[in-house]
Amino acid sequence: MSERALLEVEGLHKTYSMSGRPKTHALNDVALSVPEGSVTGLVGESGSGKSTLIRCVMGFERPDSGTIRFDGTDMVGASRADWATFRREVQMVFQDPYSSLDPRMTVESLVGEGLRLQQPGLSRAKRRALVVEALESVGLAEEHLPRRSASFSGGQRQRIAIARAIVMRPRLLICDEPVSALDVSVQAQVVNLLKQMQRQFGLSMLFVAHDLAVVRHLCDTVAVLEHGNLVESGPTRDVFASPQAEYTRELIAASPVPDPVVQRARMAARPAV
Amino acid sequence: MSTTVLKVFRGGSPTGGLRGRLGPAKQLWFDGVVVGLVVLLVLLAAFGGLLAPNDPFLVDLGKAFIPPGPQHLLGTDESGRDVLSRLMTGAGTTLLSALVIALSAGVIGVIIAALASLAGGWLDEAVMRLCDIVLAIPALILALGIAMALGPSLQSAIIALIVAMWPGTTRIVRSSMRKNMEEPYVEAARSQGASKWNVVFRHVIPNSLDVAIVDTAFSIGGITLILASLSFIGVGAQPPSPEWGAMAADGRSYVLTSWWITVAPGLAIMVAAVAFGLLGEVLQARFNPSQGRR
Amino acid sequence: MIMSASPRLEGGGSAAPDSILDITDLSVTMNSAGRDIRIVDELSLRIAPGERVALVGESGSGKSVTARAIMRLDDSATLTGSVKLDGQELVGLPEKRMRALRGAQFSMVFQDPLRTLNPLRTIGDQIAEPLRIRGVSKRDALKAAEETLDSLGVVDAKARMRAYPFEFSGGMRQRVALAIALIARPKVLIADEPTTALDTRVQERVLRLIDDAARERGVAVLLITHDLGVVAGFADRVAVMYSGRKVEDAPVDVLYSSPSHPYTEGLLAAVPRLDEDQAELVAMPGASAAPGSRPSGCAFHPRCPFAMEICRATLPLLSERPDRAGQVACHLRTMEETA
Repeated sequence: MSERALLEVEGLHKTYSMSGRPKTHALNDVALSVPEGSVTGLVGESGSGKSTLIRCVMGFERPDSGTIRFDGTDMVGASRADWATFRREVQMVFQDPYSSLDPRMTVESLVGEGLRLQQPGLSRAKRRALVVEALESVGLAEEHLPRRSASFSGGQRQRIAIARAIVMRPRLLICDEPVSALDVSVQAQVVNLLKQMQRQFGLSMLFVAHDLAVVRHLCDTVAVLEHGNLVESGPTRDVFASPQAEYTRELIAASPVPDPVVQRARMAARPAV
Repeated sequence: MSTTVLKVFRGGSPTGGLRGRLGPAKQLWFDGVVVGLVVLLVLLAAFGGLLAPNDPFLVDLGKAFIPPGPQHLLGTDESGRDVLSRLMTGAGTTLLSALVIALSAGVIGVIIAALASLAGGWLDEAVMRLCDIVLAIPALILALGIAMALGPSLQSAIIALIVAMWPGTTRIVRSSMRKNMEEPYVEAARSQGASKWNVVFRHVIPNSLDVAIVDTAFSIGGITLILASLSFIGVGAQPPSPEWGAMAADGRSYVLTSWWITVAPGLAIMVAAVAFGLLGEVLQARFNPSQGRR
Repeated sequence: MIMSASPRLEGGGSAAPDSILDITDLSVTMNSAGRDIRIVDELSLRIAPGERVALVGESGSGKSVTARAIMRLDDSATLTGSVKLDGQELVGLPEKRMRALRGAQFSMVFQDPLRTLNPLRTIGDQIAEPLRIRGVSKRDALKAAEETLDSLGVVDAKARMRAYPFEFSGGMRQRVALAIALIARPKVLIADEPTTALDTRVQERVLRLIDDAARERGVAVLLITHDLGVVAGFADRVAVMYSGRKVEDAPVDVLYSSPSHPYTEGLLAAVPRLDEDQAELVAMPGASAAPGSRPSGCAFHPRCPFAMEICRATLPLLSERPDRAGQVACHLRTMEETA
């Protein structure tokens, strides 16, 4: 695992002000880094700022201040050429498998869209071949190409979404709560798939989640956000074994363990909430 | 009946969502009957003139005011012209004009909505306000004003109605587009490098088309009525045109004695308006299974 | 002290029955796109007074439909079988009588409290409502509402009574929803995914709340959820549903330590744990079938690693687990039992 950070966020600030209300600090001096080839988890409850952070990284919003370095280049105020590279090398998987796929498009169009945008010179046949390859690597098949996304289950849709990202051969995959909307058994399938993809393609991943157990399973390092502040970060094992921040401790203690004996003991040890 | 007629103007289903209350088997019948009726009307519009039993323009005062009977199924009018033949010939005028208006307004509406979406900002707002202003004026009044300014004729009426109707489509389609632009799949496309143009044409417009189509279908009924009204007033199709509204106007003076001269075209107008309104309901249901009614 | 304003139940009364909620062979059929689909298929479940039972399942399992069917919330659903609340048969009961029971003898809290609270009325009025519609005076009802809110840990309950739902956070709204559900002293509380949309810490608080409140009042709880972590900390007993049928029913410790049904095993193996390192999450292949397209025989057979010919052909019925600790519906286990 390389020590070099593929994505490096530093000193990120973002505030929102709505008329008549005091300013909300969505992000307050947040720093984050994703070492090349590893999986970094981003954990936080609602209002923690994790969505804002992702939106800033993806360029959907501009931070008030701070730097977002991808492969050494600061993307805040970057040139069109730099963004073109970014859009090719950084792909995203979204939370809701139902609304993140255009309901009117066929699987072939959906998965091939990035290729069509980034490599317009690619022949239709070649593009199709790459799409089929991507589909097969996520466990789907060529026969699914002409179907609309509406006819697939939630788990299959996330596979399509992953194929859409993978076909671009990205260096960084940003997953925004990709399994939260899925059934337990399907969640396991998709988590395993992501792990496999990561190993197979040497991807770096930024994995946003609220479920600590999934983060523990998948991520090498983890960063914890609370109300726009980074309260803790480090190797997953260390953070879970001996959390330094009060908030992290609370989060861990509040997350249930699927084991009645263990869980009862944990709950008994908790003070009245 | 007046409330039914009013509802047929953009925005209402003539049967008040009757289709939604039917079971799936009956719904299939409903759709079949409605589509069949519409097809019949379209065929009538296309070939009615050719199939008319008598010459719709032949004036024969000796045969004036004959009540409906075996020789003249719908009687004759004040000039001795066969009402049925006039009705069949006029179908082309009335219905074709209505369809032309609806489709033109629909296409123009979608294009302007798309451009407004692309432009965004103040231009978008300006277009929406323009639509609001036009929509604030009752369609009939607006069309009346424009047609009079252009000089009474069928062509003027058509142009006037296109001008009056496009803002309605634009509003509805723009609203749908705005909603679709917020969808994650649009963000996903942007994250892969899609430009705003790209997003609007490949994602937003296709997903808003069903709204546009349903709206257009619903509007045909109202358009038919307004067109007929304009002719009735004398601003649209001019005599001796067998346009249905004009026919109804002609027969106005004789309604107490020779009621068929006005009632026949009046009923035809109503049937056409309701048929197209129902078509809108069917299309709506087919596009959006979750909404049985508007 | 407010006297209970709920109507007397027939067949209930003074003697403490074995089960406060007794569901026998309940089937729920609904009509979708012209077809009659059996969403819940012959479900039997017993809940003792004060017991915590979790009804666990994924999408398509029918667990939510079951909860709503018990309360007879869906007019379009056809129910067969029997649902007895403290001896009173609910299936076939006229709506008027059902209304009298809802909120008083048994009540429900839902997933999203924002949508189940009326935005136009104060929370005080809403909490007092179950008593008001039963004839309790406004003064007494509001007083009871305040006491209930207070007992649920709401600070300065008196002032909060006059607030509106939009002024509260998610966790507070669940407290309000819980107050409404508990004020008329029901015997059974049905909680339909009460924590699903909530943040972790809020989830913990809400569960504690339900736990304490139910314990103090001796209320039985039927918890509908898909979250196996939540179940582990809350339930006394767990019933697992798959594709409309109950496939396993056992005390919580037994279910987690030695699951009997292959689906339960698969489910537990697929859940990541935050207190342990796991090499690999064991993922069951495929996905749950939609209610309309149930496989023949045992609905789980296409995904089951132990599927036999009989599983394809015949529906397995519930029988006692080999260790006698609960029930399981599985041909393999039945065979092991008789072997």
